[in-house]
Amino acid sequence: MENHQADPHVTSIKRRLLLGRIIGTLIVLGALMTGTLAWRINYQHPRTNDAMIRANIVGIASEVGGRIVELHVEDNQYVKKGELLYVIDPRPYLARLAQAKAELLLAEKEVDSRRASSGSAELAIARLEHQRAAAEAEANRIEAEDEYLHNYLERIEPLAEKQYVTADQLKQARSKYAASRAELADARAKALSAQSAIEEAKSESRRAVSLIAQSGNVNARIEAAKAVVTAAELDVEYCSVRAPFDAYVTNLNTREGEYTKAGAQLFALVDDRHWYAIANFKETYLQSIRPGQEAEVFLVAYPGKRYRGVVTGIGWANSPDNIKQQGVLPEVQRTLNWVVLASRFPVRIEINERDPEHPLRMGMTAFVTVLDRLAEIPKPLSAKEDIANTPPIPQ
Amino acid sequence: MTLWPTLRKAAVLTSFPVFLTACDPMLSIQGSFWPAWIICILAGLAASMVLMWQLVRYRLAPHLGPPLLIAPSLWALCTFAIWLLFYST
Repeated sequence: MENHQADPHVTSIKRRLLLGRIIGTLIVLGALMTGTLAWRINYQHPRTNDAMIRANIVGIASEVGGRIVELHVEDNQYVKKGELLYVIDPRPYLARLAQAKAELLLAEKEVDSRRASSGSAELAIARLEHQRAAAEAEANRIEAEDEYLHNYLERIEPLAEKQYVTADQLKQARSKYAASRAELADARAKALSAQSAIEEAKSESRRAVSLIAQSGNVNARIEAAKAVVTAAELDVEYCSVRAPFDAYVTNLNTREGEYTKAGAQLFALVDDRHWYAIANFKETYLQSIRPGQEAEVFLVAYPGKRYRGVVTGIGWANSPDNIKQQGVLPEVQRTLNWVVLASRFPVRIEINERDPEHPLRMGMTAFVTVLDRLAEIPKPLSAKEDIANTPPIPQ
Repeated sequence: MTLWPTLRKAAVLTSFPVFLTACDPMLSIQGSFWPAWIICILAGLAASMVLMWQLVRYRLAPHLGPPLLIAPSLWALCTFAIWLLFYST
């Protein structure tokens, strides 16, 4: 009877012992297997909660200074590419444009006048050439006559000694010869003077040509005046500031009447064509991340909403925190860091999905998981396609 | 027969992170965001306590093996299982 009672008890204990051993073994093995699986999945699909949404930001500033006379946008408004944002008082720039156009006309007239002067100088040179030719011919004539008188004098001087010619005839011949010599000198001086006048006229002509400032088909004076007109036209155009791309206006805190300097940023535009999640991944995960891989982006602002993206690149440089410099020498800290923290590198993920109900905003906290496969989603849309496909998100 | 309510309780307990986070990888508490692994650790602790209680109740606990090994293993198993079920994908 006692054996009959003890047997089921022992059997039960044995069964419990066996079942307990099996469950205990399964618990330990299960912990090891699930831990390994979790580690593997975590390594294959790196994830981080150190991520934020961002877009390209462009500060809007005018190229010219002046008072804002029209402001066509409000803060947080959606604007399309080419849409007028604001207008700076264009009157001073219109006046400058009118002045530049007038100066262009003046330059054209001045060039015409200088061309006419250059033509006159050429005519003067031709006239002086004729005068010089005439002077040289006169000098030659006088020289020939002088030679004859000289020969005549040489001939009659011996005859005068023998009393074949009178002293008066000899004196007359000498006088004529002396007069001829003087005329010859005068004629030569006139020819030289004409030559000098030609050189002067040529120099004057060259100066006139230089003042025209013509080089080939291009006239520098007119081109300079045209450039001033173009710059003035640009200034007038710059008075109207337009959106360079589809964007959201942000941080606009001014109205008409504000005076803005050239280059001073008035507000910013958030580029709506491309949105990114910048996820800072530990360096230990970087070998599992490649550009082109698909990524999932969760935003804490929209629980349960998942955006698909594609890894476009991994940051190439972080500021190394062990390199400091004091003066010209490196400053090396004494340290005894046993636990070294992994550096993080920014991974840029372009978000291709848009949802008007859940608009993206720069600075949103995100949770990013990079998947172990290439993105199948199409490449990011171009700006033109964006306009066609993406309706503006109501703010 | 008697294990079924236990399993049901454990299932309810382990599924509460899902309702807390709506499948999001983070739990938001008044603007502070808690990562999934913290949720899994806490849920795993709760689940392992329930399971251990049941094992004690059915007098299997003394036969499982060294408690210093079994208790952390059960906790780790529950934690990893919850993470794999709800947060791995």
